Amino acid sequence: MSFGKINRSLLNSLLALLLFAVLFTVLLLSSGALHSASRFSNLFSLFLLFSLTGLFVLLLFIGRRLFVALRQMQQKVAGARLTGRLLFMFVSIAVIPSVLVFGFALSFLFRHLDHWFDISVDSAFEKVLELSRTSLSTQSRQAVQFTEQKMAQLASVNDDMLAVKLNELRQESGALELFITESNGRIIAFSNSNRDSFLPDKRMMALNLKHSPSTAYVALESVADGALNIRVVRRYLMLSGIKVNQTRFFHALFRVDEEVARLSRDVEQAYSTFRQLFFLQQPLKINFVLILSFVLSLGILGAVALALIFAQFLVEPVRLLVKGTQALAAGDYSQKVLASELDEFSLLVDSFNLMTAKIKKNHDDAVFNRQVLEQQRAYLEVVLGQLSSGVLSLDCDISLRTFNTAAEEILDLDLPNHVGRNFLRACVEHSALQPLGALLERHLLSNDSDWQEQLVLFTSHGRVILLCRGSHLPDIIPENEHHVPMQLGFVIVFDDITALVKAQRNAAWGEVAQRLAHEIKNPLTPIRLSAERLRHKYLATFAKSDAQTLDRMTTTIIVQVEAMRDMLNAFADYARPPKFTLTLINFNPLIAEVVDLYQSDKVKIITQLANNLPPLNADSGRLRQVLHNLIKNAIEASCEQQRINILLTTSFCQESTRQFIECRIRDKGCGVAQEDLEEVFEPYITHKIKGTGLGLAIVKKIIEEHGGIIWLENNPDVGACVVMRFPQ
Amino acid sequence: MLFDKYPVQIAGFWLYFCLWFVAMAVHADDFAIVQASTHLSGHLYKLDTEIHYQLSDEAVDALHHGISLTLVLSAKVFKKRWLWDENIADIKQRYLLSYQPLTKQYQVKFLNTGFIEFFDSLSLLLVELGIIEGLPLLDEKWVNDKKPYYVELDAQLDIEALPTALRPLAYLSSHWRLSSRVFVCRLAK
Repeated sequence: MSFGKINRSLLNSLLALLLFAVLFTVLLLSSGALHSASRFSNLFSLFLLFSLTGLFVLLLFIGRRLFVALRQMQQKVAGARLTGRLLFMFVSIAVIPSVLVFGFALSFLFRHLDHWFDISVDSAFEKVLELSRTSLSTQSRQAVQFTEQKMAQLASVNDDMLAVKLNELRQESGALELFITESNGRIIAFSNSNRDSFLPDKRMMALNLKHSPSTAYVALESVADGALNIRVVRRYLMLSGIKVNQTRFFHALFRVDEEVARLSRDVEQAYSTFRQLFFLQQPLKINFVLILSFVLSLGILGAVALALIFAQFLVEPVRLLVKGTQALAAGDYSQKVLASELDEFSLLVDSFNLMTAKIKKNHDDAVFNRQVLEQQRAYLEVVLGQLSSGVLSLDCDISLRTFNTAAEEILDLDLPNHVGRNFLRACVEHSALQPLGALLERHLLSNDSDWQEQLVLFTSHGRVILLCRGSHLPDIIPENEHHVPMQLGFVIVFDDITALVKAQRNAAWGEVAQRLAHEIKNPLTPIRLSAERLRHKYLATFAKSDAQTLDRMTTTIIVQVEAMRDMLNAFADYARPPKFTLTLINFNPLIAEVVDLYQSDKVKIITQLANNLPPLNADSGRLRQVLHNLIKNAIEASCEQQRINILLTTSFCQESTRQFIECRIRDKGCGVAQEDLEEVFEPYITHKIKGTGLGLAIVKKIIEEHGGIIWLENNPDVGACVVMRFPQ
Repeated sequence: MLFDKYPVQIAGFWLYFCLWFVAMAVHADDFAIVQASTHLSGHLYKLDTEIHYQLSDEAVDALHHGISLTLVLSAKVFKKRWLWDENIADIKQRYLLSYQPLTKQYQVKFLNTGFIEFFDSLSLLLVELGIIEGLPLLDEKWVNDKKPYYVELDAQLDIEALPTALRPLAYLSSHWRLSSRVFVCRLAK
């Protein structure tokens, strides 16, 4: 986890804690605001709304974290289970006592508190209030008596004098107000202690209209300054003789004794307060329950939030370690875990970082060594690529590991496709490499440490002579505890010595032929001259019988000398440097032309010539000489038979990597001994009485000069078959 | 996370909840403004109106239990404009109603003036309170004859003036959300 993420997480946690603290304060203020004396009481509704909103926000925050924690548990993220356990532990610790306290608080609030206050305070207050009223009613009665008395005094007073009389009576009685009205409200007379007021209060006017009691109307009235008044209204009785249009009423307003009024007000105030409290009891309980619920929710949410925060701080190092380990496993050795010094995990983290650093160093060393090795390997590849010798390296189970370009060219094989595959199988699959496969199998399986052998392959480039050398690579003993030797396999180096061998052979035979021709030819002429001279000198002089003998002997000498000369000429031909005139020729017409020369009653040469032969780049004269020699040999090999049958076939062969023209000349002679098959093409190897032993050697030489290959094989039934192949 | 996925929806839901809460708090139809009119008296525009106050049983019960009720008559004068109207005067009349258990009288205190009146019956008090004649609105100099003006009137029980413990319930109970519909009348001379 990056620093940014940790800081953001820490900031979120701090914000949650801050919100928690603010909510707690607000709930405390809300609780205080329920007291009417609190200065925050005006903000009570706002506090509740803020608490509700804050709880919702806190719920969202915690819900989000809980959701993340739950998802991590489902995904089995490292540390998720520890978070879950911490959550369970914290919530259990918080919820159980909180719910218990909440339950007890509710029970106390709704049952025990009611029980404690379930006494007859209400009726007591009612009685006290009634007592106050009773006390005031005594004064009221006095007011009524006074009113009736004064009204009697006014009964005989004319309307003109009523106001004066009323004023006297008011001053005498101490009443606040005295006046007389008609039932329609018209004021007949009025006297008031308040000099500023010239009219009675309108409430009284309204009362006047409604009440026309035969008895006195007495009412206790509150006054704005807190005092109490007693109002008395009585039907005004007129003496007989005084005529009035309507019924009249006498109004009197008395001030209650101040002390009585104050005490009564106090009782009223106490009663009102009690009634108010009684009325607010239920809403107050509901508010307390509301605040308690908020506090409970806040407590539980706070516990969950703390659990999440603590879990994060506890789990974070574990997560970092797991992440670092995963990065290490993925090959990222630069991963470094950061931990606080105060963290208990710091030791573990330090050890992990130390381990990571060591692994990184080892990895870097390994990478460096690998790079050095790669450079060396590349260098070696370049060197090997520049070598004219083919190099193959095989591992211990003879699978191809490395090769160079020269090997690919010499073997005429697509070696990259065979890397990692068994090389012997590749040799078997490609017929041209079968001799190489047989050679390798023989030496490798017999565990020859160093060997060297010459080999002839016929590839698309023609006949190739290889000088193969093989070595067993030294085993490596690793520096581990087991010390089991590691077999590196084999290295095969081969050189294409075709040209070299050919040149050496040509040079050797050329020299031999030249010397022989020179050494032998020299005495031949004197021998022949001597023989001719003997014949010329003594043939005529000898007796007939002796002359015949001399004639026969000198003739023999001359013939043999001629034969020897022919042989020496043949030697000379063999030794003569080739003068090739390579042209594109059609092989089939050339064959037909030569074959026609030998067709006779006795000799029957059957030709089966392929129509798809491509033009052959060759010297037609040399090829004609080859055909003459081979057909002549075939005829001579079958000379004991009365009828000589020779089969001559041509074909165009296409293999995976090479194309060649094949010509087979099959006779039905006595064949060749198996052990002589390899030697028949060597000079002076002949099984014929008159053979020079150079015919097949010359043929082989010409074929090789064309890049071809020739060998002799026995037919399955009778006779032998000469096989020639010319590369295309 | 749900909030990450639907932040707008959740915020909208919360806003809707708050608006519903506010709407529930103000919506009621227990008071009725029967009629209202204005007239120019001297240099003052004055309001004459008749309001029918009807307290719920819960409110009357609370009154009898010593809870004082505050009624608010709000009068706002607007000048019509193109996009939104300009509020040029805002008058609030506040009345504190209480019950005197000793004298069994109802007291009304005009909080704007401090004047106190007592009534023997609540109905009489409410009737008296509902008849308003010549309530000064604004000076003539603030009114331009060429522009149309109107007055918005409404009356309501002030829940925030109730005892603290009663307010949450009052906000949530329709018995306590006493108010009139807004009555609009033209500002006329």
